[in-house]
Amino acid sequence: MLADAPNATAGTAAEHKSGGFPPFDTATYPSQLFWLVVIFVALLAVMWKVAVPKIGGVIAERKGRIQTELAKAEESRKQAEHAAAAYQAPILEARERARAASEQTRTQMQQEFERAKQSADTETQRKTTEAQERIAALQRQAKWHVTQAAEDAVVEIVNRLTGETVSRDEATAAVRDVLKA
Amino acid sequence: MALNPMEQFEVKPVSWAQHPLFHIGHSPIYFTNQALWMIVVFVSLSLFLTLAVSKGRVVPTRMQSLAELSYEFVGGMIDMTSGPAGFRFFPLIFTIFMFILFCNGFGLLPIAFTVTSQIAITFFLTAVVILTAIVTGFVKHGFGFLKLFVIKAPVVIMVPMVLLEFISFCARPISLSMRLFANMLAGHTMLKVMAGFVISLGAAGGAYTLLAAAPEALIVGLTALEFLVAFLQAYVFAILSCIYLSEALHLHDNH
Repeated sequence: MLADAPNATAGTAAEHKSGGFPPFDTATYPSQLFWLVVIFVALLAVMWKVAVPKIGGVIAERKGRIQTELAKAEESRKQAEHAAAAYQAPILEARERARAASEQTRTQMQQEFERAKQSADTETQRKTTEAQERIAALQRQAKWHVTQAAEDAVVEIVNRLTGETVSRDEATAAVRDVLKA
Repeated sequence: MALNPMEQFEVKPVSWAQHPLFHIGHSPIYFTNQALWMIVVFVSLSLFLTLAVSKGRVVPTRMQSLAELSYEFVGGMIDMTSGPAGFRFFPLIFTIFMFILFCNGFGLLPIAFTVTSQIAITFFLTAVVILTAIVTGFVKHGFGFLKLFVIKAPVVIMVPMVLLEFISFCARPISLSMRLFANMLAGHTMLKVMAGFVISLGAAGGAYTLLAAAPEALIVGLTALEFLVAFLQAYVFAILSCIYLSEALHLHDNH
């Protein structure tokens, strides 16, 4: 080695100052490589044993945490959906019940109305028939009275005109004849 | 004043420790400016990547976000190139990426030494990757790993292809180390050359002083570009490492 001088106070490179290309100055290589090996090995050890596991651990932990939180959030979402369904169910049921009740009431009222209408109709019919019967009876009665009056009048008129007394039966027959004509 | 743009790449002992600390074999080991900045990188990286996440917050702070971003960025690279099997190399790729990124980044400070502008450094990092790939390949596939060089084709084509594949495989460490080294070296040299122009023109006086604004503006633009290069080269180095390691895992076919 060129720089193997016991007392190289000016340093290894100083001997090559005159026009040498510093990176190719082999006299500096032992120092360069010694420090590089020491520092590189130390750095590799620190990275391998401390920094890399530490940083990797932090990243993995965060990923795990995010995964767990996401799973939790999904779980909560499902629960919320269940709760919403459970909340909706009684409302739907109640609505259905209300609808059924109103439908039943409506049907009932319809039936009652029909029944009432029926009985009212029957009653009216009955009363109409009765009235018609009464009218007919009254008519017959009136007719009978008119006939009686006519017969009386016949008996009276014949008696006055002729002085003869006509029997009731003859008068009746005469009136019947006239009415028939 | 000597305006040698190469001066910034000189690896030299720091002013307060001029003597070698000890010798390995016959080679003296100095505490150099480069060692100082590697320690700065080591300390800041260690503090950043451990303290920022020390509380393990679920909702991260800015620093923790940055640490996690770096982690997931490298994770994405490995996943993209070699799938889940590649994650056994995660600490290695992560260390290489962050180390290069921080070395490049600190190198942009005006007073700093750019660790990655040294071929010895980039070649060592490359050697770590390539040797890991070769060892992984042989451990996983035995001699079947040599199928990496074989492409299913007629013999006439296959023989030269094997040769080409072998040359390309051997060229990898060179291209991987040279790319990072040359990029950092060229960028910093260019900045220094432009800075030299600013000083020369400024010192010339008169109308030249006004002209100094041109290289100055260029330095501002180049510095922005160098920030991009600093990140991009760390990314390129890391993703090529991923691809080489992925090939060792999966060979050609089942990837």
